[in-house]
Amino acid sequence: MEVEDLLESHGADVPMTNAFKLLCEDALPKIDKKLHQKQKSIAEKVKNELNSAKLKAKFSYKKLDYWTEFGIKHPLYHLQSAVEATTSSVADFKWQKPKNITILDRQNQNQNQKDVQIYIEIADELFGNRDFLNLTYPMKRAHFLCAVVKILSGKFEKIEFSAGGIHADDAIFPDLIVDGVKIKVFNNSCAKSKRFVPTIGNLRPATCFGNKLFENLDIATPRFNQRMLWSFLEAEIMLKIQETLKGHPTARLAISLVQNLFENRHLSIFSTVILPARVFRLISQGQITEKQEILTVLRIIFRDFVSWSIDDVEYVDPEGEDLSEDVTQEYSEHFDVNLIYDHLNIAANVTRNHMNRMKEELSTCLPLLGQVYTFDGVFIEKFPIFAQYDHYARLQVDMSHLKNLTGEFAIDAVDSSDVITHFIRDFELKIQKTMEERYEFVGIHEIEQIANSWNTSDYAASVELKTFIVGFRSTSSWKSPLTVGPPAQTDKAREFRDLWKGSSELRKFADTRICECVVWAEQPSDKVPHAILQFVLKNMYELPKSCLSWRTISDDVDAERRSAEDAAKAFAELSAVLRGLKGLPLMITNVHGISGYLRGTEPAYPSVFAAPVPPSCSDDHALPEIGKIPLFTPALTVHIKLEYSGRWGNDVEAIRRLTSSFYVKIAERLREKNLCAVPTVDQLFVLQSGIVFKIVVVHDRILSILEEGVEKLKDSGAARIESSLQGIRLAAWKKKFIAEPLLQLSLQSFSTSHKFFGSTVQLFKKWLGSKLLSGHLNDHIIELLVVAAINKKGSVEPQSTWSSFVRLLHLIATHPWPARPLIVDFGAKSWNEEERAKLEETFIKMRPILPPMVIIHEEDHLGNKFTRDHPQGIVLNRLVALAQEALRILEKQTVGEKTLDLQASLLQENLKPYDAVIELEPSAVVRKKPILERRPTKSRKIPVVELDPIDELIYQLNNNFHQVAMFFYNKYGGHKIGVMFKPQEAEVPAKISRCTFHKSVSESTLRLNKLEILENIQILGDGVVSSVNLQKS
Amino acid sequence: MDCCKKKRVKKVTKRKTEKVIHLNPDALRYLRFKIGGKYTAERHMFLKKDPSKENTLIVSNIPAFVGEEVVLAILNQFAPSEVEDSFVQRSSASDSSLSQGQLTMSIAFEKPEAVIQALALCQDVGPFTVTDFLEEPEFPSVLKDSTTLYQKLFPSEDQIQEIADTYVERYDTEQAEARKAAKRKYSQPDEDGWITVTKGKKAAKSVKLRKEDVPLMGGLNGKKKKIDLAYYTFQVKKNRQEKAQELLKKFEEDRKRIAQLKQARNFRPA
Repeated sequence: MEVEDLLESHGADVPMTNAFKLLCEDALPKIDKKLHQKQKSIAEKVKNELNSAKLKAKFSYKKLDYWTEFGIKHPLYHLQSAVEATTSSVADFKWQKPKNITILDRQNQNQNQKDVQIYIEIADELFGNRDFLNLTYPMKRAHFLCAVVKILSGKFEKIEFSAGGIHADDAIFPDLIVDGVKIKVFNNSCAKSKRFVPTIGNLRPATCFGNKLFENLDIATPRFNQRMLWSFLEAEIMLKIQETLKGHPTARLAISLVQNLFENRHLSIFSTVILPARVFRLISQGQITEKQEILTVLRIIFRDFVSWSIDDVEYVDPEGEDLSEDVTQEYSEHFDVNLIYDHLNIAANVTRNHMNRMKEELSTCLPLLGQVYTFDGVFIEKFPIFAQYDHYARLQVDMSHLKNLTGEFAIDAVDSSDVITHFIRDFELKIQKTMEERYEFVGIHEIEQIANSWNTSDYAASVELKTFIVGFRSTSSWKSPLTVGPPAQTDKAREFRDLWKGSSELRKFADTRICECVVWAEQPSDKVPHAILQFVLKNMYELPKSCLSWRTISDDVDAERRSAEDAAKAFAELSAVLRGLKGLPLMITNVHGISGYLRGTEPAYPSVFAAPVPPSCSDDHALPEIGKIPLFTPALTVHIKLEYSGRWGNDVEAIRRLTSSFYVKIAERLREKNLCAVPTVDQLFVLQSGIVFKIVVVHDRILSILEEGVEKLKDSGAARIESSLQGIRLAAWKKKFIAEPLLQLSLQSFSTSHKFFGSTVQLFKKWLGSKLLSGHLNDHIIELLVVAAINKKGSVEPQSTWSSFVRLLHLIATHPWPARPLIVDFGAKSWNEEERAKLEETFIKMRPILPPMVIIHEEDHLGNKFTRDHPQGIVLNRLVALAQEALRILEKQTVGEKTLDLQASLLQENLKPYDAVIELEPSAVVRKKPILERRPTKSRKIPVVELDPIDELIYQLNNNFHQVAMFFYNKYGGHKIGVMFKPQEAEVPAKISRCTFHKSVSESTLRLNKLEILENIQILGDGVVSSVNLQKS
Repeated sequence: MDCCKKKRVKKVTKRKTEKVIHLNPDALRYLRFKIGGKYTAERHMFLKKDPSKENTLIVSNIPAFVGEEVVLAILNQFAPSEVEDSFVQRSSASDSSLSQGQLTMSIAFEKPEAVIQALALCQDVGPFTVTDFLEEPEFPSVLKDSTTLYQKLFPSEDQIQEIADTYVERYDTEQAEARKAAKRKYSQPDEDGWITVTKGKKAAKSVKLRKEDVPLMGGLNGKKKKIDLAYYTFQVKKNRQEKAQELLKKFEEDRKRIAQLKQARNFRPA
């Protein structure tokens, strides 16, 4: 939905309910009243101490080591040389009683922050009239903080410095934390706020970085100005907001909820100051009133954020004075986003990308407001940073790399940390210039952040190196091999050439345009964006290649996609042939392909194409020879329906027989069309374009016969219809020929609308295999889980295999399986609140008899159709634990120092936990990744199809030993099967009912006879199993 | 699977063991055996008297591939007695196939003493070797089974057609006969001289209506009859109370629902 549609869609809004209100009020943790009281009394004590303090200290403010003798380190000690270059009309620092001390009780506003804060206004006498220049103000401010530490030390348990500033990350303007209460100091008498408009320079770069580079330069310092202004105006602005919010409990609640949402989605840049300020603005404008319901307030806030235009300069206080037009112009030139209070832009650090991402997240959540069952997804669930974007790179910036660029980035910077920050800001702009068409937004997040607080006896850490992750949300042209520029011979073309340092060339396009282009590769590839970033770093900044490393798995999906395309093409051809067949007693009306290969969700191991038929085969189809294992060929199931006829009879077996002669007839007709077709009793095999299809006729008549049978049984007064033979047959038929095909159709259409669905399912299947869990999850369930992860309400849809897979693992690892059903929505038709409530209610009522994993979808409202037998509780627990482990590996891959070999770490088999291991004959493992890709055969014979001896073995192992053991295998090329004996069977009482696979050890006890089981496995697996070994005694 | 068919059993000379012991007739007894060849693990079959029939012995934990005959031959080794009847009761396989899993057999002797004798002696004899009792010791395997099954899946087209034709022909004749018999029933007197008489035409099916459709049937002009529900003041009061109760109930339900959601949120598996 477009943003405009979203904002106008009042009609479709969910109405306010008591349940939603309760949820909102319940969502946040209760305030710890005791702690709050304690903080209040600490604040009072601090105030009293400072008001009555007497400190004999008088020294030059340039003397930063004055406090060392008291065990206190000046937080700006590392800037000694910069201080030397400053001047002040008040050269001495001495203790002066604070002008004013205000305690701000921020109860119930921001749960994640300290509740009580103290703002201390420093006496005016300490500052000269030009102290706003350079670092004089921060130095004196820090001296004052040290004095406060000296006064308070010994009287409180813990006193430490913490980074200050609008986002609590600015070490040049530190604060103090005294037993959990934040102390902020300021004095705004030394300059008027208009002194800090973006065009004025208040920090000479020569002061901080030496004279050589910037001699006699007076350059504008918009960022430093904003930092100074925040220190000046923070108390005023926060008190004002707090005062207004006092009378608006609903608005306060809404702020807490939205703050939660921002924090969970790594958008904390909006949460602490901007959000309360926007709400304050909405209240002042009269949009939010006291009497509104929480839902209305939330909607107003969401709409306000979504419609926030970055082109306009907006004001926090609509009643305040607006800036003049020239100044407004200056602000919009210097900052991406402008939300002004006085001359302070509280959104100075927000970039275009932040805004785009925030708007995308909020517009996904906006239609869900008011719904009870999606509340958690919107406000409570936390997503790891490596699940937020589709592609990741890790960037490490070292000051030594930036030496040549200091001239550019040291302007407006105080120390190295600022230089790196400026560089990152510029890098973001370069990314925008060079690859704007490839992504919707990019996010650069710092990792391994330096501690935000430090001991008063320690020096503040100096930053020489910072690490970032660069995340992209990709668009469809992400992999495009070309960067297309403007038409040739224009001014813009010249700019483009300059930007690309001459590596662009002219290209003529199909529509006769001749444009500047940078050519990266012949084919679309994942490597192109990587190459562009490397180009930018190397040619535009002269940074070494090693500082950027690509972290997304290079999904080798090309081969996979090709086989799905081949299968779909062959199916389309076959479908056309079938529909056009003439000369049959009944026409074919419907043709449905219902195989995972058609939508690319089944790994084509070894290939989707038929294996070559041995030359010895004389018939039109090959048969397996005793003792030899043929190559594996999949058969893609196709369901067909025939036109209606009343002459099928009333007997299922008669219909079956008649249908088999129908298969013979269809085969004859297909042969006339030059296709190889082999009928059997229950299906027809056809070779089309080198792919084997299995055609099955579906009769609605059988359904009505089976239903009649059940009806008769009911009429005769029989109880427990479900467990009667007729009941079971009807249920099985319905599942196989109605529920499954319908579900497959939904999945098919989902896979066409979601490009990364197929490859994610394949990766998931391979991952499950490598964890030896193949067969423990039904194939439909695997696909449904992926649908649930991709289509999760309240999350922006993923656009790569990587992000889809991470979301999937996150879903498996965090869904409360025993307590809630997983409801899968294909998006086309979703349940409304009442229907969902009903589904959940039924779930709670039936929970004791439902399986451990319950997945509800359109074809299964109870959610147990495909999970009744598998996975068992113990396997589900293992799956959850494995998903958590995999998430840790992926996190390491994203943020860790070295790239991992994902194949080795993520898809690694571990056989240690198993009691016994069955080694398989290499020739029996038929479903593995081929060394050479199989090509479509020209032979017109059907090879042995769907014969996987490992699958057969697993079936028989479970069939034989289900009472005493469980088996774990990797369907896709695993050479070993893990065996776990059920611990409750190790020793059992001597009873005939429990003696299976046991031997007698005493009159009253039987022990599990493991050797007997292993021998039986060997007998059963003759020719497939090479050895069976016990791992533990 | 073919192992259900009778196995050819070798004759093995009997070993003589005679010993008289006293035992609890309801106890679970075991009999040691092994497969033979490269399979040497000691296995136990379990024997118990059938509590409902005194001449019957239940033998359990028999590998399906060993077969009934071998068990009888082994029993015959130390407790020679005439067997009246024997059959496989069940299998431990989850698909209940008698050719898979471990089997439980029921063996009825002619005399009840044979049961006591077998139970008394079984623990002291053996271990017997299964392959000694088989002429061609060969066991079924997954690979062989699936190969043979696959081959059976592909009959020739003529065969398919033939099977279909014969079945359908038979079905058609059966149907025709059934029709004829029914006709006869209506036109000719049966053994007792009665003719079944039925109604010529079936009555039209009654139309089932959903609740909400009913009022539309009554008045064509679509006007609903207005019924004054609350005539007396106590009714008004009662209605109001009921409404309030309902709201309260709904609120309680909501609260319960939220509590459940909250609980589910706190639950973190593993």
